[in-house]
Amino acid sequence: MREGQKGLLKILHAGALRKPMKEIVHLFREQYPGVEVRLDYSGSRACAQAVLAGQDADVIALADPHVFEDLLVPGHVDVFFVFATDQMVLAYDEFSFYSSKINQDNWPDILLRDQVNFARSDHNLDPCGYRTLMVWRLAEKYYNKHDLFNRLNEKCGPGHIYHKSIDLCDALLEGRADYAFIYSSEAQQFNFEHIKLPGKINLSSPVHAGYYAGAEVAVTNNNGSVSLVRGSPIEFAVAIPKNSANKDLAREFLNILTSVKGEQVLEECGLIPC
Amino acid sequence: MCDKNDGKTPCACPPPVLEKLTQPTILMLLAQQPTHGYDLIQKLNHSDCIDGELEAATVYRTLRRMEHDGLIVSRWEHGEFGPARRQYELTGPGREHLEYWVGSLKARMRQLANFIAHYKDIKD
Repeated sequence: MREGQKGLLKILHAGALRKPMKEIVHLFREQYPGVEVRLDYSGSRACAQAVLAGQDADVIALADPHVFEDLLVPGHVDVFFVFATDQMVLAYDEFSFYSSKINQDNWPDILLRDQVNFARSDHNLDPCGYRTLMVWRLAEKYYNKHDLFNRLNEKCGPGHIYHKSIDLCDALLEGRADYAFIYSSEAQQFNFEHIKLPGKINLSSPVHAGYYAGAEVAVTNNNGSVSLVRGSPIEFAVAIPKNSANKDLAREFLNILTSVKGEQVLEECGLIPC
Repeated sequence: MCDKNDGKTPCACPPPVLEKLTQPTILMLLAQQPTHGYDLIQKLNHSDCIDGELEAATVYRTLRRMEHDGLIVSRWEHGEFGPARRQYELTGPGREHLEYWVGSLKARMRQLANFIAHYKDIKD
């Protein structure tokens, strides 16, 4: 324990990492009780845009390494570390329409029924949003359902698009959405019932990386520029930005995050440490 | 013919389950060169030593268990481009464990050959 150590550690993280980051901070505080930790979170692309706009942070943890590559390297970050993986699921609760009938084979048909509404996060702000669009593209091919992507996309209008994936969990809890596309870890943390999607479309496995890459989504940045994101296995990554005011403490935080204890915390939160 | 037969296949019983070769195949791949988990998952699933598709979560958990047991060791590795990843390398005990696996599998092969030869004797 470094009781004498003082300072301020600012952590900017993806909303999907809310619970694991809080738990890792608890581990950090056991060793550094004198250090103040500030957590700020948003969709990963929104986090990166905030850094570009001048927000300072000592640790940045995002839901997609591609966001680092696309927006923060080399100007703000040199090296970023992949520390966990996950997969997409379709979550719901017991009061969702057709919750007793939905399964891995019929979910596209159930979602397109009149009474049912479903939600996703914003692909311009949050990787879970563009990953949802990728799942729909891949599902169209996997289930051989003509025009499935367009039909799902048309039905899931602006009123059903949330800033970040963790907001979808609130929407499910409050009954504003019957179904939502979120990460498996979030479904586990909130104890939601969920459909586990087939490996070829759930973005979980490097084995299907080539297949996933067939799904591309265009995302618009704050400055109006457009980036093309290609489907790939879901990974979470963390970095210490170049302008961190507290690099030593930030390194300690990363050491704890990737330690055996840190990995246990990630696993308990439903993530797969890697 | 077995009473679970569906008429389409010789027998509806599940195939006999032998040892899962996930761990020794990981040891063998790492004996060739240090590799990170992402690549290992791809190589494992293209390996003819593995039956069916291994989930990424299963492989990552196996790697952590093997590191805990001292068979492999990891360190962060990053190239000029892309993210840094945990790269795994075989340890001395890991090499010994691979040798042990090979010895056990050879013994098992002899047992299986004996089993099949014995069955042929009965059938003939």
